[in-house]
Amino acid sequence: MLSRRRRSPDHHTGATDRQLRALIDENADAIFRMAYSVLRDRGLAEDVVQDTLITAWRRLPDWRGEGTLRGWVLSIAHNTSVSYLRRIRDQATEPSRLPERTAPDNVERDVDGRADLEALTAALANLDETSRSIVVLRDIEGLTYQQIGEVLDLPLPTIKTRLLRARRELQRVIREGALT
Amino acid sequence: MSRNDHSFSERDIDDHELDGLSDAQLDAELAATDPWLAPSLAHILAPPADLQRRTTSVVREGLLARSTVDTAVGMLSVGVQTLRLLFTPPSSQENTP
Repeated sequence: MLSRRRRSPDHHTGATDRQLRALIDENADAIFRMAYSVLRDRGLAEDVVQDTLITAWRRLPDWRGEGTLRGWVLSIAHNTSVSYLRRIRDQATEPSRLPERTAPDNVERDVDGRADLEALTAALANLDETSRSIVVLRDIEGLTYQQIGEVLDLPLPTIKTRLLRARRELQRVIREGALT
Repeated sequence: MSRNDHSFSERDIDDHELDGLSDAQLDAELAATDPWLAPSLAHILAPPADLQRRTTSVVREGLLARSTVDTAVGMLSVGVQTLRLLFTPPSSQENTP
């Protein structure tokens, strides 16, 4: 587990280098999933991973230890993702310049014969970005509602209702995929 | 007050579509998740296999670059302060509050 005792983020001694690698190893995948769910672009999601981890490393000495480190890092990741999204939308003058709904590298038709992943990808893309983030944080990262509230700065009722509505839509797609 | 301090009884605009559910029913529905949802989503959003290795490399370079810029800015700032001290007439220094 990463310690907060380090005070000089730019001095790469052996110990701090191990801490940097721990920060990356423990959080890079979760940041990617969050960023990809918001931006729907794998290249931009990787950029968010890098920016988030650089910001988190530099701000780590100021982290007050409230909540979990992962929650704090994901909060930075979400803010960075939304910032990217706003920048893209501001730059976009036509729909074709909006982020592509890119598919994973190896899209399989189904997982164990159940879920139609292409339909699920489309259904996920049709949710608003806040709902997508809530689903990812709850169903993949396993955060509590309280932690999700801290990451996204949302009240619990909003988190629960958006999660239920999003799940209903996604589960409907999964069920329909299972029947075809 | 943080937005997280809202009590669960405080409804917002997002709740209107689910008004038919009590809090207990909402919690019960949330507890009953399709077991295929999480693995399917994890599959869709899976990061590249070498993400951590590539990220480590880029983050190290980014931190080094920012550290270099910070150092350069710091040295420039010291230089400016030094020049200002050297070229400021003593009388105007004394008049400075």
